[in-house]
Formats: sequence, C-alpha cells, structure tokens
Amino acid sequence: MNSVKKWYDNEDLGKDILISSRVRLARNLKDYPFSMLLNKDQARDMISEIIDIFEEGMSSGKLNYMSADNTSDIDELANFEQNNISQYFLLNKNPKGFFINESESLSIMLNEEDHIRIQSICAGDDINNAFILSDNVDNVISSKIDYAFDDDFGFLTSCPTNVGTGLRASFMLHLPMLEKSGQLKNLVQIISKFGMTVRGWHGEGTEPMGSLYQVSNQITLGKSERDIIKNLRNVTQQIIDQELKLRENILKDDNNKIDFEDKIYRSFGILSNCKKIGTRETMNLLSDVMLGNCMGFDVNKFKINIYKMMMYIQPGLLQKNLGCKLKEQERDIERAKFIKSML
Amino acid sequence: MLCQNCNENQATVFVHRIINGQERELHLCEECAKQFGMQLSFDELFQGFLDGFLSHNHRQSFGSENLIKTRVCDKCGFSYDDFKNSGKLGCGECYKVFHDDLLLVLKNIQGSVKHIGKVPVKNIAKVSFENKIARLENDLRRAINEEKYEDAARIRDEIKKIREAGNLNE
Repeated sequence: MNSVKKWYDNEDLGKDILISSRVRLARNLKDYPFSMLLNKDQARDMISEIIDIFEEGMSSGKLNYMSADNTSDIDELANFEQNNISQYFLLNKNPKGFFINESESLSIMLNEEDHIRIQSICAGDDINNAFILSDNVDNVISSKIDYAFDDDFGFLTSCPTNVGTGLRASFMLHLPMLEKSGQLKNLVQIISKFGMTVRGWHGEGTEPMGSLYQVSNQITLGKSERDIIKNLRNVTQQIIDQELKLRENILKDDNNKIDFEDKIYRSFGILSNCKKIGTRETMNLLSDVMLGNCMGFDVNKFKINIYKMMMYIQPGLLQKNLGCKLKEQERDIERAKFIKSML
Repeated sequence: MLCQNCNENQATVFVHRIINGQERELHLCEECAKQFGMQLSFDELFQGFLDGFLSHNHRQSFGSENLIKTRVCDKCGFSYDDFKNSGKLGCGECYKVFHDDLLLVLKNIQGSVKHIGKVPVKNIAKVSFENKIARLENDLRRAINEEKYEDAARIRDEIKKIREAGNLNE
C-alpha cells in the first residue's frame, strides 16, 4: 500500500473556486528533429538519453518511469484523467514514456508534441511552488544536455504557439455560476485580449466537465516567466470575483436561496441513491455538491474531497481501481456502487 | 466588429482564405464559425490562420508562391508547405530557415519576437565562460601594451588552462 500523500489528498480541495495551480514547460533537445518527425529509433534514442540523466539523480524525490510498453490502456487513460499526461501523449502511438513522482505533483512526458514536457501541479493557490518544482527539473536536464534554444526566440518548440518560455501556467477553477449564466463565453473573449485562454478540465481540445475550467496563458514569447504568472494571477482573480458575485446574488433572494438549496440536496440525493449513473451526469451532480459545499451548506457527506470523487468516477480510474475492463453499462453500475461506498 | 454572418454577435474568429486567387477575410462569431464547420481548438484555428496569413504575406513579398515552395530545411527536410499546412516546425534549425516568416507569425500570435526569461543552464555556463575568456584577453593585451611580460605570461597560461577545462567539459 502506497502511503505517500498525493497532491489531491487535501481536505480543503473542492471547498474553494480555485482548485489547483499548474505549470508546464515545453523543451526539445538540440540534436533531434521535433517529435513529429522522429522515427522510432530516434525516438527511443532521445528517450534513453533523457532517462540516463534522470538515473544520475534528481533532487525532486523518487520518480517512477512508466514506458508505453509496460503501461496498460486503462492505466494510461487513468493517468490522463488525473492530468498526469496530456491528450496528445495519450493518443501518440510512437515510443513514449513518462516519469511521475510519488505524490503525483510532478510528471515529465517524453516524446509528447515536444521531446520533454515537464509539468507540476499543487493544490489550491500555489503556482509559485508548482513553478519551482518544474524549474528545478528543467535546470538539471539543461545542465547536462543541449536544448534547442535561440537567443531571440528562446526555447524552440514544435508549435510556435509555445516558443519562448515554453511555459503554460494555469489555474483550475470551478465556475458553475458563470457557466450557467452564459457569462463565461463573454469572459473568455475578454481575457483573450490579455493573452489568456480558458480550456476544459483536461486542457487543449478537451470538453469542460463538472464546470471545471483551466485558465492559462496563451502568450509564451516576449514576457518573462514571472510576468506571465503575475498576469495570469490577476486575470484569474477577476474571474473568481465574477463567480463569487453571482454566488452571492443567489443567497440574497429567499426564493432563489431555497431553490438553490433544494437543487444541491437533490443532487446529493441522486448520487447517494442511484443504482447506475454515467460520467457526465455524475460530474454535473458532484459539481452541484461542490458548489453547495463551497457556499457553506453542509451537503458533502463523502469520505473523500469532492475533487477526488470527480477523478475517481472517471471511466479509466474506476476500471483501474476495480482491476478489470468493463463495458459502459457495467461501468455505470460500478460507478453508482463506488459513490455509495464513499458515503 | 460584428459577425459578418449573423450581424448580431461580436466577431472573434478571423479567417483569411485565398479562393480562385482572390483573398477573402471573414469575421465570424464563435457560433457561426461552428456552423461553418470550423474547429475551434486553438491549434486548429492557428493552423488556418497561418495558412491564410502566410499566403497573403508571401504574395506581397515575392509575387509568386512557387518561389517559396522550394525552401526546405536541410537538417530535417521539413518544407515551407509542411510548415504552412501543419502550423508546426520540424526541428530547431527550421526556426532559422523560416526565420522571416516566423517573425511575421510570431509578431501576430505572440505580440513579440524577442524572448525574455529563462535560459538553459548550459547556456549560462557558456556565457560566463566566454565572458571570462574575453576579460582575460583584455587583461593580456593591456599587460603586453604596458610591457608587463611576466603578468602577460601568467594570464596567457590562465587562458590556456580555462580553454582546456572548457574543452573537457564539452
């Protein structure tokens, strides 16, 4: 039994709009074509060069390496659902692998869209620590191997949208009221003018679920890492303020308040009593419970925090924890059983 | 600017298209863009933008697209068309080969063409190594000019030692 506490084993997770802070650095080795053009042999050579560096030692604690060869489809899917790997990495059929630390706060993907994607995640508002984690790994690698780097363009990446710092910093937010009121769309347009963007729970190209959104920087060139993070923090605070304002408005009117309270307790009621339930419906109901919990209602009776519930009901993690592959109908039944077991 | 299709919502998607040699620029809102079957992930939008953007700029600067199509990165074999179609680059060298196009693209998507921020640890070491050598060579010249030959010999040995150490590290 693994006793190391995961980053998401935090009692306060899901009691606030801001769920987690995340940093990703995109890096490429100078002596290889970018991942898209690597043949299988080159990809294996590139990966083993980086593994050698990691074997010489990292100060960031114990890292486990998961190569594509020894990772099952379900394990990969579960890692994607936990944001340890990206959608691009999940779908990539070439040689690939990733390092992950015991608390799952740090993962390093090899042969993603770029050769190296270092990413770190911390619970709550802790982006500076997330940056330090990734930055330390980056420094160890770049002291031992030549990166594709240009004095003018910075860290060179496969897509010019990542060139420069190669930094994507993001905050995971729970924004049910902005979503339901339709204001989120306008907000997305406004923040794009500040070089920021809003993506789904699992990043680029993924659908939002359970009203979870990632707010991140779009611009990576011409601004320092410190300024990118500072701007992101300012924009995120504005979004949080807007969501808070909508939440406060509900409680001002007694009729609205009772309707709201009724809805969140009904959502909890369905979750506690259902016999089968799909992922999307579960996410919507858990989102209601998270919102109620956040607004001071004693609605969460689960043994674990709601964000962890949101992860554990995902198809990959559900199957991984049960240790078997299931059809959709079977998953829905097992999901309902799992939810009940958490009460 | 309002969407040119519904004339109601704010246009957020700008599409450049060259149709039968005629350039068309379309300003659409998110909803109408979806109706036109456009993918709205940033990478895909960027790819479409790049296609229109580069075609437009090259027509202006070269007059013919045939000239551009011949450019290929010697290191990875990635062609200008590959870049235009995929929105991606093949290797670090491509940034030099397609430098001028990238300046235009980066200015538009990133708002800047000059990196500010972190540099790789190895590059910091290289910068400080080169700075140290340059400083010592300056000292050496001054010592010779001032006819301090003993100092000059000592500095020369020091430069030699540092260079040798640098070569070993590489």
